[in-house]
Amino acid sequence: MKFKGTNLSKRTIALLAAALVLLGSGGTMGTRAVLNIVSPDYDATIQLDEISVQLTEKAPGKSTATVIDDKGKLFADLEKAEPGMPYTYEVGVKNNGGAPEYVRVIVRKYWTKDGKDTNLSPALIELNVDKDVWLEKKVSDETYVYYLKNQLSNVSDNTATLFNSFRISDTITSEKTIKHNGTVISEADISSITSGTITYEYKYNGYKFTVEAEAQSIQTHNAADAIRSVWGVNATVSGNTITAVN
Amino acid sequence: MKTVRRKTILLVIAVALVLSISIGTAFAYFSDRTEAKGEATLTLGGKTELHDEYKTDQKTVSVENIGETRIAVRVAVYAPVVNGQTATVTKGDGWEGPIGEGDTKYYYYNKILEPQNPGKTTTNLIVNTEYMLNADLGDLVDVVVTQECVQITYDENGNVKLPTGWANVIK
Repeated sequence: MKFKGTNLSKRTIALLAAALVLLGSGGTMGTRAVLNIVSPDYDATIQLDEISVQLTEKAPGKSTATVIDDKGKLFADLEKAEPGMPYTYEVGVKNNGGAPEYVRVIVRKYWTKDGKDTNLSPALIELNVDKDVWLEKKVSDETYVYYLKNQLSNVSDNTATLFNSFRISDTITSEKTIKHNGTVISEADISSITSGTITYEYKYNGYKFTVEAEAQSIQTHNAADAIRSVWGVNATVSGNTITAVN
Repeated sequence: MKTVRRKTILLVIAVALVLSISIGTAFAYFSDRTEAKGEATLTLGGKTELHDEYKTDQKTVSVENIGETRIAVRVAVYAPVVNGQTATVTKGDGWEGPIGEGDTKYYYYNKILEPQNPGKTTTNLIVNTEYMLNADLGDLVDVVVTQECVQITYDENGNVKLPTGWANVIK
């Protein structure tokens, strides 16, 4: 609707009027000086402590543990493994950060043959984990998660051993073929053999076992919330201890 | 129609803005991670060669590990009875026996045979065959030795563990 005698609509006129009012109220007024006091500058330095965790390993016959680089190798000097033999590699974690932390280690064990996955049971790879120190949670036959119950200090006692040995169960040799001079025989036939050579061929000869370990650490402040947010699990934290994980 | 669509869009944006106010504050937590991997291949089995030397009055036997694994070995000696006599066996260092039940008795080597020297070959078992010289003319007499080897395994304490039926003479 246009204003009488003009081409301008009422809305346009209203906007123009408002603009004029704004210009008028923003006009230069008289200047005044105000006494003010400014305090001197103060500097405050806040250092954020780093959360950091390392994997360590003490090989058999060695007196001290060495730090394993990220994506490094465990049991690097192990050439062959004999079934049943306990190999005393001590694998653990170390807090090399600036603050105490909670730690967990995700362990995955599996078998391959010629680079391919197999159905051979991961349970045949036995890790001697101290379950008084670590809370074990099974994710699958291959994957276990171990939660260090107590906070790991960043000063003295800043290491914790996850397992102090591992072995391949000797039952892995139970599946075998017995041959006499190259011909398959049964175990019961052995006592009746009176010449030649008896040999054993084992089904799992040439299988490779792998142990993967991923250590994760998290701040202790607001631990339950931090664990839920980052690790995706509900942890019950009492004092400095994780008492349960769901 | 156009005005209605624009108003609808504005309404939706307004509602979204109001709802976003109710979203809680986001936190960042301090954490770290590292990973490593260990692996090894199992070599199972065993391969041996029987060394068998026969002279006039004795047969000398030893067993050599020609495979890639550490093994336990045992042999059985089958000798004929001639005029009521049978073979006697002189055992080299490390051999124990005969051990077993019934007609089947074995001589066990009480050391692990290694895939490389030292320790790749057993000491000798010497079977005295002189008594066979008394055999009747035309009788076929011979001393036969069978050999057997198995993969060394261990129990949880690292002690050698052998299959059922084997005498565990390896300490």
